[in-house]
Parts: sequence; structure tokens; C-alpha cells
Amino acid sequence: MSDIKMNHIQTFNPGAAVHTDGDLTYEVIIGSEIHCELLTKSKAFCSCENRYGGMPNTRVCPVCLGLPGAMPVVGKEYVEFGTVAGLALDCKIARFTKFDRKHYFYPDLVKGYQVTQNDLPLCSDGHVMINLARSDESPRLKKVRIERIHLEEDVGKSLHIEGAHSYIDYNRSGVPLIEIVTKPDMSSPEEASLFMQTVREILRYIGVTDGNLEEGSMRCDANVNLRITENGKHWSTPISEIKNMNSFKAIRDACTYEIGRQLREFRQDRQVFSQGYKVTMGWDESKGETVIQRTKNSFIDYRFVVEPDIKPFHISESFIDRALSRVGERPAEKRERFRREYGLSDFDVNTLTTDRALADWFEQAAKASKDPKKVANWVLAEVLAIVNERGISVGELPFGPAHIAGLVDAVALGTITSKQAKDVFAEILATGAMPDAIIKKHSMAQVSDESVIEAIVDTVIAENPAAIEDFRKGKTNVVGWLTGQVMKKSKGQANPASASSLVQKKLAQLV
Amino acid sequence: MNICKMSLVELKKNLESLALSSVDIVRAYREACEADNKTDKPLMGYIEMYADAEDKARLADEARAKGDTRPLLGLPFAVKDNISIKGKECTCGSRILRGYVAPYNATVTDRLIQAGAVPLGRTNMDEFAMGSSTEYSSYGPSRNPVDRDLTPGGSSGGSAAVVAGGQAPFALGTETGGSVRLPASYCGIYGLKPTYGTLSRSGVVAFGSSLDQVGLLARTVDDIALVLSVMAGKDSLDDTSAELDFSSLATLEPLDLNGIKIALPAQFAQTEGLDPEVGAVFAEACDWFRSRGATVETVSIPVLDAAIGCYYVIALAEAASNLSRFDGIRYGMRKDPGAGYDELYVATRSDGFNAEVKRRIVIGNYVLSTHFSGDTYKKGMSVRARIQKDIGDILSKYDFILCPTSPTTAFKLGQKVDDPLAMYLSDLYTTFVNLARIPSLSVPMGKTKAGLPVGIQICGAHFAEEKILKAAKAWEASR
Repeated sequence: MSDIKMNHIQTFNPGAAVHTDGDLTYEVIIGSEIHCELLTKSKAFCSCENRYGGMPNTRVCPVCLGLPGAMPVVGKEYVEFGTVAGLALDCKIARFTKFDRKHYFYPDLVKGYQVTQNDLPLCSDGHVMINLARSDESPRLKKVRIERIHLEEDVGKSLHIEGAHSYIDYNRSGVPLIEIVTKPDMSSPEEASLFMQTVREILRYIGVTDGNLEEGSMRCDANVNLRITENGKHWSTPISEIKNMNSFKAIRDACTYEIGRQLREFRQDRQVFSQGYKVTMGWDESKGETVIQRTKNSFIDYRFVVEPDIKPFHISESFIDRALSRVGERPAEKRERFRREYGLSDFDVNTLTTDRALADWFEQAAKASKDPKKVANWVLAEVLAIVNERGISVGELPFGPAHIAGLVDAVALGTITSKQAKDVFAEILATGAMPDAIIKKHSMAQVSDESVIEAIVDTVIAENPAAIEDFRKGKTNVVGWLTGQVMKKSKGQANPASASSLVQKKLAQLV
Repeated sequence: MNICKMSLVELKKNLESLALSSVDIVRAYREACEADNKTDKPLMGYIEMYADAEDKARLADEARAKGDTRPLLGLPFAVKDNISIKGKECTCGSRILRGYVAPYNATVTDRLIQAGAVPLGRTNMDEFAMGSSTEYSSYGPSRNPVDRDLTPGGSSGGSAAVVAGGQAPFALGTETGGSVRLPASYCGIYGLKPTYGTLSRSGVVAFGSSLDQVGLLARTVDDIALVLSVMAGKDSLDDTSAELDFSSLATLEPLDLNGIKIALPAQFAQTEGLDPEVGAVFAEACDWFRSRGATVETVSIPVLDAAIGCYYVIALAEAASNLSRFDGIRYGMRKDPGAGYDELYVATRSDGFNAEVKRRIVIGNYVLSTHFSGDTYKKGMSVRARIQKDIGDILSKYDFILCPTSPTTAFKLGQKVDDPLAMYLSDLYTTFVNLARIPSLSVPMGKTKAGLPVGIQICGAHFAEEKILKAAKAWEASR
């Protein structure tokens, strides 16, 4: 898939920023691994429903319980979702791939191995552009490379009650996952958090995951270490893999804490990176600290074996084409197009595209209206106010894009005034009625037909001979008064500008 | 009328003519088994005879009275203890699965039951199908009906014993490296290892998944063909199962052997441990094929020398992986010293598996660990690819590969139980078939002077089951 075309935007790679800490300088190096549950209808290798929550151990079968004799069968949708995700992150898609088994023992792992992809991942060599600019600035992009994305199955959930029992819920066992592995291209906690937000946004946009960090449908790990320079000598601190970060704030805070901890540790014992040395840290949100979970002095021996129950398979060009059509427009592309097609500001574009549903909602309204810019203003001000106030999504509003398009156009055509538009909107909100119907029902439509207004003007002049006399004496301020009478008689529906000019015209004729 | 000596096809005819009822048949087998159990040296082929078999038989008889004509209606069968039947224990001959009741049918048993067949009981086996004599069963060994001091072979020894011993008309076994053909050969019956993919493995407890295949044991060629025609073909629960139509197997004509080309692997003729009496039966078999117009040639297939080593690398690697799930957490036996998971695993697996299974798990994990054994597993995979290619080449030039099923006849109970290497060599002639994923039928082609059966296997190209069975039928018809 080609890179996003954004000619006017400067892409830059600032490189790792060099920070100073007393007498030493250091660079921050962060890579990331993201596990994402896919929104397929069924689990990865069986027909059990793939859904979050529910009574424990109710969505299980011999396959996802790993019962003796049960065999996995790859769901087509699973491979399709993985491919769509890979294409959305600009990866190359393998034309031939297979599954492998990765062995370790844990009670929530039903077979003593996890079905995953070892040496032939479905996707490789991708990238994500992260935008380092503020939301009211033009984009400043940095590229984070994706090493690989592979398919694997999720495991069950353990609940340990101290001093009592452990409970395991296997509803999650066999839920389809992708694991996204990046190159160590991020150089600050902010970039790490931004990267994960960007990946989440893209994957949610294309509908392959709901990306819920709290429920664990998206789980982000960060590999953090420092390259320290002291007296012209270079050191690398051991890599820490931080887990259990279930918000973007947590990602930022955990990486920040870990950088400080590694600096302190380096000052204390000068422990340096050695090949294969990696520490697994958990983020303790309440303490605001990373806590050592496990040290890996040597690699874990996963004893990979080819999964013999699933035949290696080819991925056809037509399969990839279909996946490509499912990717559709990604957020950055959409932003660029909104800017170009609707002439919107960076801030407006960024706000309108935070959520795909909102962006689509806006675009439907914009397409139905003659004035997309005004539609954007309405959506950003009135519509989002309701959405935020009620804590709902645009899909749950009591009205649709057509209502806003109709409302904006009624003002643009001069059918109603902007002031009247607010009243109409209030009624749309209350009743869900279309703006046309509301305007008609309250006879709000402005009368612009000159002959109608002229008749009213004639009546008003005929009924107010005293005012005409005043005008003849040179009191020009009666024009405003007479126009007011015309407006009153028309119950406010006469176009004020027309009414005023007609009054002036008639008076001139009388003189 | 001795029901227990009738073939499956004969029983079927008697059921269809209403000369016999399914209840009669099931009862006859039960009584035969019960009587045998009272003898000094019982066969012990069954681990369990199902108490509900007679009820199922009665339902089958009622269905027939209402016009049901399903192909196996009312015909009983025995099933190896590693093939799932819903609601029945499935323990793989192991302590670790004691008490595990399968909540679903294996596809093979499901298809038999759908065709009207009645499960009679589950048969003994070497624990997790690892062994060649049933002596590694946690239930104790089965005996050979030909000579009760001998093993019936293994690992599907219980299935072979009940079929040869007149306690079932046919039985399902499983193969990873010869576990159906070897006991068939030792007990003097037919044993078919179909092509990998002919029969679904869903619900069959895995040993070496890339080698495993359900096999059939019966006393006639037609019996095997009839059962295979019902079970074969694509299963949506097994990705490795093949799209097939074996319905023509139900009516099998003998093969005209004139012009048929048969290859004899030179490597097997030179085996040191080949029993001369087995060699003599094999020579007679070759002569018989020649007498029918077949060309029989000795062919060198050098890669066969690597087969048994390659087999143990791949089979044990996959076994170590497949047996990881028996951890005492979800089903089967659990030993919990109360000191955490690791201790629970160690206690459960130490006590639940026998020494042979543990030996194979250790070897398999060693093979898979690049840390300890480098690229042994990868090398095994590439040797296997070579075996598949070379055997494929031979079978594109020849119709069959013919060789003894085993270098020896059945051995004495206890003779090899403490010598794993000698036990492994029982598989010398059988593993290449599984590695090459081809079909092979062990045919009881002769006997030694002492009256011990000798099986000769007819191996064919992928999905050439019908041709093999027709060739065997030609031989059978000539007896």
C-alpha cells in the first residue's frame, strides 16, 4: 500500500532527543508490543462467539478448552481482519504463511502451548506516522516502523484470591489476537503514548478492534532503555519491558518513571545492557511505580514447533484486494481530505476526525448541505455539545446528519434567520422532527416574495397617514418605524431587508 | 451359527434378512468376553464393555423393523481408548486421564454411530499409544489370542486382540508409526493405515499430529472396505482432512494383478533382525503376486535407512507438544501438594504418566529445544520431506511397495518391556508409511511353523486405498 499522500506536510525525523542529567547526557529508546483482540464474530479456531464478558466459562467448546482430541480450524474472518490491520499499518502481507506452537505452562493456557506465528508472520515491514504537533498546529509527522504483525490466540483469565483459590475464566481462551511489534523508534514517553494512541485510532477506524485498554482488548507493552553518554563514553542500560499499562496516561507515566529509575540505577551500579538481558516490569498505577515481575537472564525456551493441525496456507491477491477495500480511508488521509475538500482548519479537522463515527456523521451532513463549513461549525458547537453533555455517541443522537444539513441550508437560503435556527435546533432535539417541518409548522419561513411584502407596505402606509406627513416634513426616521410595522404585520416573516427597501421606495414615490 | 466367528459383512446380511438381531450379536460378544475373562489367561482386550450397548442394539432392531436401512445399522464395534465417544471415558490407557469423560464424539465414531453402528466397548492400548505391545498400558497388558503368552502387539493391541479373539467384528485403532498394522500382523488379521487425511482426527487424542491416522482392524478385506466407506472424507473440524468419495468401496472387486508393478525395498531385505520365517512368508507372497502376472522388483530406497530416526524425532517432538495439555488443571487426574502451580504440574505429570511416556516427553522437548539440541527438529523435518519425495517417486513408477509389516512375529509378554530400543525397532518397517503419509494394509499372508501369524503390508500412493484393498481381496479370494 502506498504511503499517505500529504505533500504539504513536512515529515521529519527528529532523531532521538539528547537530554542532560547532571554530568551525563542520555537518549531514550522505546519500542513497543501491542496485543489487540479482533472483532471477529467467532473465536480464532472454533465457532464460539467472540464477545467480551459474560458469565465465566459459558462461551467455550472442546477446541478453546483444549480438550483431548480437539483440533483448531482457522476462521477465515480471523486472517482477513489480520490482513486488514496489516494493510492499514502499511505492512507487507505474506503470500504464504503458517501457524506455530509456543510452549509454556500456565493454568489459563489450555493446551500448554499458544497457537501463534513464529517465523512466517502474516504482516511485516510496516509503519505508522505519528503527529507530534498540537491539535491546532499543522501536522509534524514522525515515522515509527512496524517490524511485524502476527496472529495468535488469547488465553483465559485467572483470578487469584490470596490464601484461597484461583479461578479461571476461559471465555477469552481462543479469542483472536494480533501482536504488533515495532522497531525501537520512539524517543520519549510522549511519543510512545502517541504511537499507541495512533495505532488504536487507526485500528478502531477500520473496525478490526474496539481498542479498549481498560477491558484489555488492547494491551500495550513498552520496551524502554537509555543510551547514556558520560565523559565521552557510551553505555546502554538493560531493556525493561513494561506491562500492565491500561491507559495512555499510564503509558506516559510508566515510561517516564522507568527512565528516571534506569538513570538512578545506572548512577548506582553502572549495570549495562547485555544481549538477551531483559527485565519484565509491571506498572503499579496506585503507587506510580514500575515493579520488577521477572528477569530474563537467558531467553525463555518456547520450544516452537510447526502447528501440525493447521495446514500452511497461501494468501491470494484477490483476498488482499478485498482486505484493501475494507481498510478504506485512514484517519490521516481523512484529515487531509477534509482540510482540502471542506476548507476546514487544523483544529476543526482534528476534532471532527477523532472518532470515525463522528467524521462519517459530519461528512454525511456536509455532503447533503450547500455549506459544509457552516455544517462543521454546527457539528463542532451544537452537536458535540449535546454528545459530550449526554455522554453518547453521534449514532445515539435523536436526530441525524440530514437535520443539520437542512438547518444550515435553511439559514443559507434566507428561509430563517440564524437566531431562528437556534430555536429550530432546540425543537429538533426535543422532537426529532425535520427542520422543514418545524419551520412550516411555526410559519417561520421568511417572506421574500416582494409582491407580498409590497402589499403589506401599502397597507401600513395607508393606515399611518400621520407618519407619511412627518416624512414629507423631512423626518426620515419614520422609515425604520414603518419597516417595524411591516415586520409586525408579517409576524416577523417578511425579509427585513426587502421590507426596508420597499418602504423607502414607496415613500420616495409619495413625495 | 457362531456369531463371534462371522465377518462384519456376514453379520450385516444376517441382520438384513432378520436371521439375527443386533441384540443377539451384542449379547454374543458380551458373553464371549465374559467367558474369556474367567479363563486363566484372559485376553483383556477391553478396558470397558459399555453397559448400554444392548440398549443401543435394541433401538437399532426397532429402527430396522420400521424400515431403517443405514449401512451399519445394529453392527457393533470396539474402539481404542484414545478415540472420543460422547459420554464415555477416554483415557488413552493412562492414569492421568482416569475419569475423563468425553463431552463430544470424534468424527470417526460419530460417522459410525450415524450409520447405525453400536459402540461395544473401549480397548486397551499402550499409554498414549506409545509402545508396541500394550504392556505400557496403565490397565495392564492384553494377550495375543493366537498364543496367550505373547503380546498382541501395540499400541492398538486391545483392538487387535478383540477382533482376532472373536469379541468384536471390527475395531478402530490409531497409528502414528505402525500401531494398527503391527498388532494386526501379530494377531493374524487385516489392519489398514489409511492415507493421512482420509479419516478425520477430530476427537482422536493426538500423539504425533502430522503422523497420526485412525486405522481399521477386521478379519476380512470387505469388512475394512465397508467401514472405511462410511467414515472417510472431509470433516469441517479437521483442517487436514481430505475431500474424498470412497462410497464405491462398499462393493469391492478383486484387482487384476496382471501387469501390476510391485517394488520391494532392498533396505528391508538386508535387515539384521529379520526373522527367516518371516522372510520365507514374504518370499511366498512375492511369488504369489508374480504367479498372477505382477512384476516384482527389488528397489533400493536409501532414504528408508533414515526413516526410524526421523520418525522418532518428529513423533516425539509433536508428542511432547501434544501432551502439554495434561496438566491436572481442567480434567483428569490432579495431584496438588498445595504449593503452587509448578508443584501441581510436577506432581500430576510425574504420577500420571508412565516411564515410557515421560521418556518420550523428555526426548521430544529436548528435540524441540534449539538451546539443547540445535536444529535437530528442523533436520528431522527436512529428512522427512526427502522421504516423502523419494517414496512418492517410487509410487509413481510402481503400483505398490510390498514388505513385511514387522521383522518378527509376536514376542513374549515381558520380553522387551525393559528394553525400549528393542521395542522401538518393532516399528522398523512401518514408520516410513506414516512419514510419507501413504496408505498401507497389513495382510495376514502366512504363518510360521509354530503357527504364529505373519503380516505382509501392501503400501500404495496417496488415497490409493481402494486399489490396495482390491489387491488384498485378490489374495484373499485365492485362499
